[in-house]
Amino acid sequence: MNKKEFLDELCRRLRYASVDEAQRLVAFVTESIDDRIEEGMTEEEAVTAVGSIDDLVREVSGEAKVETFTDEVAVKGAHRRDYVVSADGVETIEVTEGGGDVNFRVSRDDKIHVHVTESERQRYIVTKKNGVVSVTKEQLGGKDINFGFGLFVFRADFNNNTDVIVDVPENLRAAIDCKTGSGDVGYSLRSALSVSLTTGSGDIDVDSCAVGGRAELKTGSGDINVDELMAESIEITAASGDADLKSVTAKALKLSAISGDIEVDEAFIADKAVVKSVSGDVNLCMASPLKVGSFESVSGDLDIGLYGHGEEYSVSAKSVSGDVDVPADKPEAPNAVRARTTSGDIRIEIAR
Amino acid sequence: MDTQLRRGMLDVCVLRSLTGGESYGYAIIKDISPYVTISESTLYPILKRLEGAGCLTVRSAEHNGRLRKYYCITDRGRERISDFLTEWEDIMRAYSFVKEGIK
Repeated sequence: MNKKEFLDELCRRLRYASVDEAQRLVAFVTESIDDRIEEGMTEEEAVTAVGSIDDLVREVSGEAKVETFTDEVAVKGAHRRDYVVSADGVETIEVTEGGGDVNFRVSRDDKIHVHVTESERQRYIVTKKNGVVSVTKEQLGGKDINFGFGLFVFRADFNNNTDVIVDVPENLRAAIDCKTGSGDVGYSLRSALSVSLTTGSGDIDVDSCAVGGRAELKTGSGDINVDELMAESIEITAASGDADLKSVTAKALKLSAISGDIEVDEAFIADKAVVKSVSGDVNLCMASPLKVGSFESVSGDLDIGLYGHGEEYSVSAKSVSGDVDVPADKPEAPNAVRARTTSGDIRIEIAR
Repeated sequence: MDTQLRRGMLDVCVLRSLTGGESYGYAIIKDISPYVTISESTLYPILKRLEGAGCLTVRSAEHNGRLRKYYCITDRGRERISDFLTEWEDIMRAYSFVKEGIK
């Protein structure tokens, strides 16, 4: 076995080790082989002298508690792989996926696990540097198959766009940044410093999450579903999809959609809520008093429930052709509720 | 040999190889080999463990167009050696006592 073959095989056997650990060991072994060659040994002699790959891998496994996952052949020529990364010093986790789904889950141990499917056509580069864990997909050339019928040619891309699962330890509070082209994003981490989830056409699902800073969710044509989200500020953009939120708590909320509907059940917004839709309906239930509220739709209907007690607030609800409906539960509270529509009906209801 | 004992002994042998000045992986192996059996797979975790315990420091330096890691013993590393020697004095006393009984 020559040096390259030996190191390739060592890397292959270390694929379940943490990225840091694998890099360190490979560098250590490479240095030793080079030193032996420099002293006059041939590549083969130097490789034999550094010992067996089994021993090297076993020593690292013993120290780093590497998961002993076996390849599960999902598709012919593809395998599931689990990259194990130590969570020590991690401040940011970045995931960039071309088209597959990305799921963030709570890890069962104190390490970050990145589960991916790799094949000859795609692999993932998982790195940890300066507190940033980065997961990037690398396409190694897709196989196009052409079906020809006379003048018409149908092309099918046989890249496997399978999902990425990122398991994050429960006690790690990191900034999470995820971008995928067309896949869905699922997020069920309990806590994070900040969260930014972007997908071109997939759905975004967020479940029971507390974010210290900003939470930003963006999709082009998919839907956004949130069930319990607490953050300093929340910004949600769904261009043609619907945004369906249940129990959101923040100082500031910014929500916008073009043609999708917006539905918010129980929003606890302390300062400012800005909600905009072009043709979709807006249905909002503010469960606590807010200071400033601005709700707009061009052709959709607005139904803005203002509940809760206390401070003064200023609310404006506008629609060009839709109906505007503003029920409130506190007679003295709405110091200013302005509702405007060009051709729809307006109803402001104050419960007594 | 008892694994714990062997491990402690190897740690000290590696530290001993650094008392004359900083050294690198392959040179450490060459220095220790006449006395104990050691290979890359054994040395790697030892260096990592000793670094973690503050017994040595590591620096990378250019050597013939590539990077080589150099290890340097710290005061704590020297303490580890003297602790080992003190402990072994006790062990050697016990050894002599046991051996005399066999004669």
